Amino acid sequence: MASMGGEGFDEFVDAELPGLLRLGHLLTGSPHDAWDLTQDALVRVGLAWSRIDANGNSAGYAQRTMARLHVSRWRRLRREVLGGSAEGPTIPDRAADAELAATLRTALQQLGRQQRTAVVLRYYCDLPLQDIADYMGCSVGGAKSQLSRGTSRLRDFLSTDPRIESRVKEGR
Amino acid sequence: MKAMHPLEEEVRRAMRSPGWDVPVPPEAAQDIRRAVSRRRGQRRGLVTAGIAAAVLAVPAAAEVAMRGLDRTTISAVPQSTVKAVPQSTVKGCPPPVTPDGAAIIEWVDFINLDGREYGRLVPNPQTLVPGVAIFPGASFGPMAPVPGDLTRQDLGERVGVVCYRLSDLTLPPDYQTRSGDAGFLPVGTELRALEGYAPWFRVGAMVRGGLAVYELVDRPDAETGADLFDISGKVRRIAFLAGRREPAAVTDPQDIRTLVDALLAAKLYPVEHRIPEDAYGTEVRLRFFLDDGTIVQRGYFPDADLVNARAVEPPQLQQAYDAATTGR
Repeated sequence: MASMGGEGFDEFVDAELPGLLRLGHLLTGSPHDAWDLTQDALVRVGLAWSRIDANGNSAGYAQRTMARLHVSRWRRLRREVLGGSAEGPTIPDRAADAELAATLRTALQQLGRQQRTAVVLRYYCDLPLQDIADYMGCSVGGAKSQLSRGTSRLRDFLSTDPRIESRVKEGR
Repeated sequence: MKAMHPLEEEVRRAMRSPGWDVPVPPEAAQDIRRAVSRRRGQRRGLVTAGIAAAVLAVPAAAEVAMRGLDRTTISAVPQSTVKAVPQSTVKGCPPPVTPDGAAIIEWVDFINLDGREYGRLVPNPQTLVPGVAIFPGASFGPMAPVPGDLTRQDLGERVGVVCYRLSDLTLPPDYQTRSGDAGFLPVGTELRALEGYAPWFRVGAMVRGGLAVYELVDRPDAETGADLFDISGKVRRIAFLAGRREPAAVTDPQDIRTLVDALLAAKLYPVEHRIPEDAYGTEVRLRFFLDDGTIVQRGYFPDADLVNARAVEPPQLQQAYDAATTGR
């Protein structure tokens, strides 16, 4: 079958979809919104595929598109874009990880959209500030401020959780 | 490199835990490829139409942009070249309108059922961003006060079905949503009543194995607040949220009743009665905690007498709000 998205795009989607969905989940907090965000981003990537593929780092482009879409939806619409799910979090059975994921989910929900995006880009995508600013479409100072405030709020929230605190003390 | 705080290491680790994995929906990759293909076709149509408009020296794009549409961002030109809008595959659904323009519209997750527009509830009000609150928010997720979790067991009789997923379609910029339209729900999704709620207020749908709950945003025939809120006798606490702080809460049953009654009795101006956004003033979020643990939340703009973008006639609601916030 001929590729509908361009040479190599189909393979890119197959390979990157799980990782991008995961990023979407972290950004939006909802598996359903994650799918919507990822789909929107990948469609844009597909439309620009010939240009992106020539430059390399297609995955980075897709991540950047997701981050910008996530932030710009709020900016552009100036209203609450509804989403989310009535389902509880997808928590694995392993107790320690489940505890962490559940606590982090709650903690991330305390953050504003931009703070959350900055935190996810920093700690999940391991991006430097310059790239975070680029991905979010803001200045380095703006990204730094969002990251700092987001991290600080996360720290405040997580440090009140005795289970997390004990894990930190144990140096795990 | 600066050493990372142990808590930040925990965050980094937690973000990599399997809890954040999202199952890849069946045919997801195929859906994306189809969407790319479809958007390419739309682009070609838009480019052709744009050239035609330029040649004819018709400032159509500007005109389209000036019209504006709720919930939409539009980049559009006349639709002489865009291909036919697909027919719904669901039996009994009306035919689509004949488009006279093309638009790329950013839809929010809404449904239209019998002329009423519903917005999808978010799992946790804390995730809402400050801004102009137009759509409702409610909580039934992990942060919700127990025991308000809604499940598929709460679904009742079928009250409607999604005929068109508008995010899939090419539509004129002045398209008016109709019963059976949805922003993102798949065509054929059944809309069902929810136990404990009037269907005009809340309905549910199963989406990708999960329950999605939709709450009334607006209805054109609403004359008073009671036509917008099915909360009479169900509220156990009210909070006012300004920004991310919760400066005031009403817990006295009498005060709660007074404020709820004022909201339900408040007369609404017609939908056409619009107030410029720059006149909204300070936003307060009215958050009604219901007996079943769910939350109904609306943006309230005391300076403009607006609830959820509908203008209400002063002064009863404002007086009740003032009394509740000042403690009388």
